[in-house]
Amino acid sequence: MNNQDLMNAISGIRPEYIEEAALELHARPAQNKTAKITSFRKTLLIAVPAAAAAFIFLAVAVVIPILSKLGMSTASAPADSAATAPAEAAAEAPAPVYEEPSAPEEAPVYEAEEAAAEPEAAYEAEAPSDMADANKSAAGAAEEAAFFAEMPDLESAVYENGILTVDCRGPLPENIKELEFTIYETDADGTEQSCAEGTLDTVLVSEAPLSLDLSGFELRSGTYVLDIAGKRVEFSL
Amino acid sequence: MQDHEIVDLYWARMENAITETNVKYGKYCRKIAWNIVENAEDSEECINDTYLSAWNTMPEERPDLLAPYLATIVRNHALTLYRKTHSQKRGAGQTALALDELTEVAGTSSTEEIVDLSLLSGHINDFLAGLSNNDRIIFVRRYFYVDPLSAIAAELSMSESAVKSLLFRLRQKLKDHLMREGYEL
Repeated sequence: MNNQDLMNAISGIRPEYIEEAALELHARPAQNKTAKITSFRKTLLIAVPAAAAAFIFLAVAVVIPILSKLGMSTASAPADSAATAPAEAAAEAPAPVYEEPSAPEEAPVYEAEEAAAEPEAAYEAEAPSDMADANKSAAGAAEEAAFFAEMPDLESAVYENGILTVDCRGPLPENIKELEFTIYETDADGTEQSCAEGTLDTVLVSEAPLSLDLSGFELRSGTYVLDIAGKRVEFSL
Repeated sequence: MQDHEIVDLYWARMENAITETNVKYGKYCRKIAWNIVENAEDSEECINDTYLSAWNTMPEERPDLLAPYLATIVRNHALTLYRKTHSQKRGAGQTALALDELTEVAGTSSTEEIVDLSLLSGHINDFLAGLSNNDRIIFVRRYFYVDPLSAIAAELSMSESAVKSLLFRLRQKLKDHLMREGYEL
C-alpha cells in the first residue's frame, strides 16, 4: 500500500463525514460563528472591566477631592441642579459634578439588563455555560446587538401559496439560517399575537430572494407581521 | 429543490436533472475539482464527467445525500485527471502536498500487493469514527476535499500551525490504527 492507495481509499469514507465537512464549503460553519462570538466576548470581558476601573479611578481621584475641597456632603447635593445650572458654573457647583457619575452609571445597567433578558433561544443555547449569568449584562447586550445588527431592513413581503417572499434592503447575514423568526397575527384593533416562531433554517426556501415556506403553519386570512431578529415587515393573506 | 427531487429527475431520465444538480451543487463540485487539479479547464472537464457519471449511475442508485455522492464522483475524476497530467513529473499544489503528507502513513513505493480499497476505506472510516468532530472535519477537509491548510485554519478560526500539527498527530494515529489492522507500513 502507498500514499496513492490511501488517497483513493479516502474516497470511500462515509457520506455523513463528507457532508459534515462539506458544511464548511457551502454554508457558514457553526464553529466560525462561535469563534467570532468568543473572541468578541473576550474583548468585551477585557474592555468592560477596564472601562469600569477607569471610571472608578476618575471618580475617586477627581470627584471626591473636589467635593472634599468644597466641604460638601454627597447626600446634600440637590438632585436637579445639574439640569438647571449654567454651563460655566458647572465646574464650580458641586451638584453637577456629583450627579455626573451616578446618572450614567444607572442607565446602561438598566438597559443592559433589559436587553439581556431578550436574547433568542438559539443564541442562548449556543452560549457556553461558563458565560451564563455573570456576563449577561453589558457585554451580553452589546454582543447581542452587534450580532443581530447584520440583518437588513425588511421592505415588503408577499405571501403566495404558502411561500412568503420578503424584499430586503441589503444583503442577508451569513448566519441567516440560525436567526429566529416570529409571526404575529394582527387583530382589527392592532393587537399583535404570536402565532408561529422558530429558526429560519426550518422554513428557508431560498436566500435570494428571501423566501420562507410558511405552509406548515396553516395561517388564516388576515394581517400578519414577520419579525426576523428585530426587523419587521407586514404581510397579508 | 430538495435532493430527493433531483434524484427523482435522474430516475425519470429528465435532462433538467443535470441543470438542477448544477444549480444546487455546481459551485460545491467545482471547488472540489479545483482543489485537486487547480486548473479551470480541467475542473470543467471533471464537472462534466461527474454529471455524466451521475446520469449513468443514478437510475440504479438512489443516494440519500446527494452532496457527498457527487463529491466522491468529482474527487475520483479529479484525482484520475491529476495523475494523468502529472504522470511524468512530480505534481505541484495542494494535491501533491496532501499526497506527500500521506507518505508519512503509507510511503510511496509501489508493491505488487493488491490493496482492497473498500476494506481500507472501512478501516479509515473506523479511524474517523473514533475522532472528535473537529478533528474529523479537519482530516476530511485536508485529505478528501484537499483544502489548503490556510483555508481550513481560517474557516475554523485556528492558526495554520495548529492545523498542521493536528494533522501530523492524526496521520500518526491513522498509521497506528492501520498497523493494528494488519497493514505493513
